[in-house]
Amino acid sequence: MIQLDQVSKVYGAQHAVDALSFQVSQGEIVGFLGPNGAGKSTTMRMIMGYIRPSKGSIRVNGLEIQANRQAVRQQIGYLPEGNPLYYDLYVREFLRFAASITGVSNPRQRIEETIHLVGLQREAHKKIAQLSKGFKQRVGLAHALIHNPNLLILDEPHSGLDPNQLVEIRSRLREISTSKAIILSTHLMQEVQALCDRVIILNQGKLVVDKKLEELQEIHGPNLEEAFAHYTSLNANTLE
Amino acid sequence: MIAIFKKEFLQFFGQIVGYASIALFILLTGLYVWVFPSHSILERTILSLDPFFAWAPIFLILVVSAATMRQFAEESAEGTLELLVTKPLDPAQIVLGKYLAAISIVAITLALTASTYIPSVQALALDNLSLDYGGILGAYLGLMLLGMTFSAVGLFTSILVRSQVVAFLLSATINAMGYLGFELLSEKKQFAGYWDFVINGMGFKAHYERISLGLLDFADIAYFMAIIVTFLSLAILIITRWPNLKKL
Repeated sequence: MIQLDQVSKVYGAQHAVDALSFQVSQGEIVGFLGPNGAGKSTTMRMIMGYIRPSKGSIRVNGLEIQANRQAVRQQIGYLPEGNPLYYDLYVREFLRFAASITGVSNPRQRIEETIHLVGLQREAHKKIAQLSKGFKQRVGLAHALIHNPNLLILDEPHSGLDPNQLVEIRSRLREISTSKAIILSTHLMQEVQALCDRVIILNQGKLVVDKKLEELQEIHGPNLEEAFAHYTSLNANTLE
Repeated sequence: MIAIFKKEFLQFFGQIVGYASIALFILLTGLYVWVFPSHSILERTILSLDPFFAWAPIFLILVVSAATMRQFAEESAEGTLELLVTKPLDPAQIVLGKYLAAISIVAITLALTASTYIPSVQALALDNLSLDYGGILGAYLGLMLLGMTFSAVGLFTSILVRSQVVAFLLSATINAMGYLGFELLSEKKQFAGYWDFVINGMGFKAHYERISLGLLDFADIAYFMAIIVTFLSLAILIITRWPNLKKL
């Protein structure tokens, strides 16, 4: 479904992403991990065609992203880092806008389905600015899901949520994940353990781990924090 | 494009700034049409809307700058531009949708003045005198073309910066220079003779005034269209290369 082949992004002398290659197939939930500045968001933005890679190619369902940006974006639901939203719009207005620009054929029905899917029924009549952080995250998720994409790219969807909201967003993602490929960037290891089939860890722009969750737990124990600390403490020379 | 237009329109009229800028335009033009003795229609013997058409362009710069300042600057500051440009949209659709919303706001503002000033001035006429409706139509067409030009400039300046205030000031300054700057420059003694005419002809005002007189010349319309297309094309070019171009 997604294929990255030797993808690099260079800013001046700094390699934000360095010769990154991996694939994600339908039905997989991939935890995309790494310390701050490891290149996760840059990679996600390159997959969305928002940033152009310095080298390498990215294909989504066989389509090269830079040459087929609109077709590729039609197949992806994207929740950017920081969950930017139009706070002065009402929830339904915002989803109607998202449905319209992604060409949803029956927007009224799809908006209600999506509101139900992410559990926004009681808040759907409000302005986005009036919602709590957890519900704003759900609006961002609804926006990413409105056109029923095959692939979801979620950049820190758990950011700033309290434990109850974490559990709710987790259950929503579980429901959604049955028919989609999901790339999930997060700093919360318990969410990766609860949701993901596979874990990719980046450090200093390089891929340091790409393993099934069970394999990683067999090697480093059930607690993913230890594996994360092990792989991300490697310095640049070791990575070479 | 229509979705972008609707969103922009909703957002403009969803904020007090939207209504306030239109109200300010009507208030300021109203003061010149009815109140200030040196300009007021009530002090004149000629039945016309000349004071309105003389001052409206200046105040229109304020309305347009208020309407366009947030269009890209706010999206950039809030991070929502990433949402927009990662959607299956062509950059031209994004820019033109926003532009269409800006010129619709101009059209609504002008329609509000037309619907109040024309009947009220006509009501003042003695002996069944009639306003020069042909001239008024030409002047409104000129104002609309000016508003479209101001909007293209405002939209472009909004892409260049993250701050709405800076976008407003940039738009107002460039538009004011385009409207008044060339005329003021042409009045310098050094340019007396041939160049004053050439320099004055480069500004928005000379073309607006010709259209306002009812002289509908293709060259004047082409002049405004060329400026509009230039600024919108630059805006589309920047959005196409977004986010690799840095903002101020």
